[in-house]
Amino acid sequence: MSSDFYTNSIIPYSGIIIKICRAYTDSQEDFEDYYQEVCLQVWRTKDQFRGESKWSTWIYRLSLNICLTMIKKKRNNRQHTVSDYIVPEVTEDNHAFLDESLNLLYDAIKQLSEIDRAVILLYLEERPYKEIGEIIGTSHNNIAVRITRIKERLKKILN
Amino acid sequence: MEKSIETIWKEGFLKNDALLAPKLNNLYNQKSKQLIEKIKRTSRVDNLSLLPIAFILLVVLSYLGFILAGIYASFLLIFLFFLNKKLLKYLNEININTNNHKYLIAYKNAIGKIILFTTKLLGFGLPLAVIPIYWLFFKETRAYQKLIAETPFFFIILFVIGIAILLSILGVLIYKLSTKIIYGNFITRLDEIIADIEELKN
Repeated sequence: MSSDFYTNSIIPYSGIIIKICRAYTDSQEDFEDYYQEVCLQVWRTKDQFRGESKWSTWIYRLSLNICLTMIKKKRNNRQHTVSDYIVPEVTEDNHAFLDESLNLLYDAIKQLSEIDRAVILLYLEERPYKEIGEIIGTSHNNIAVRITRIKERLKKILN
Repeated sequence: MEKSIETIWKEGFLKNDALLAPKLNNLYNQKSKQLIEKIKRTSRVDNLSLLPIAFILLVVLSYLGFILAGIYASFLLIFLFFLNKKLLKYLNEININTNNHKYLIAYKNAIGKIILFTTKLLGFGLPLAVIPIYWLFFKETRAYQKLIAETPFFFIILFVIGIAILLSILGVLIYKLSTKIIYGNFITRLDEIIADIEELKN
């Protein structure tokens, strides 16, 4: 990966990757692993980007797909082990932000289903419903209903 | 008044620590470790599977009345098990403390050497080791006695050489096929990771 590509095409969008990877990981080690995997895939698939959408949308889509794939792989690897039946530790000390409210919000988001996590992350990032629908693969009406439901659930968890 | 989730999100990410990207210097370390672990696990299981096969051969051949052939076949498989174990130990001794790229290349070269060694072993050793089993198996049969009595010695030698060549080809082919089935994906993945690291370096 050339440092130019990393500086110009990844660093300005690293916030997106960080926000998404945080929502799908429970430890700093996993977070770094997911982050690096996303960066690698962005670099690997850069030639597939045809400019039909914004580069940021491409990064959102890729980050979510990779996180969902990695979480699935991880789950398959752990199948039939006792740890499956233990509620995962949500936040480790070294995986926390300085802002306590943000930590609580992330903890709440992690209690949602994987797809709901993706929807709310995109909503909080102020992506238009149409774009969220395109990324998730559903209609924007469905997204609107879903977001209302997810927000209610988050409020309940946070309170 | 309680903050909305939108406000928590916005304000939270205004803090300096929130969007600190991890360094990319460990790129591929985790992936490489996972792949190597998978290869090690698979090769351990693959090698261990020789033991039940040795036991089954011993039981079946003994049941059929060929105790000596059974003991000999089991001995060969157990010998192969210990030989493989030694070769796998050699893989574990590769210095993991070198950089990732060097480690993966060393590992790939070591796998290549083991495959070459096993191919040669099967190509030359298998006929030598298996022909005595045939002899032990067939020596009492009427067909064998007839063959020995009626066929000139030269043709018997030719026949044995023919069987040896056939066994050699068959052994190498089966080994190549099973290696491709069991380790093909791992080796391809190893090549891909090495190629990626080299491209990243450039």
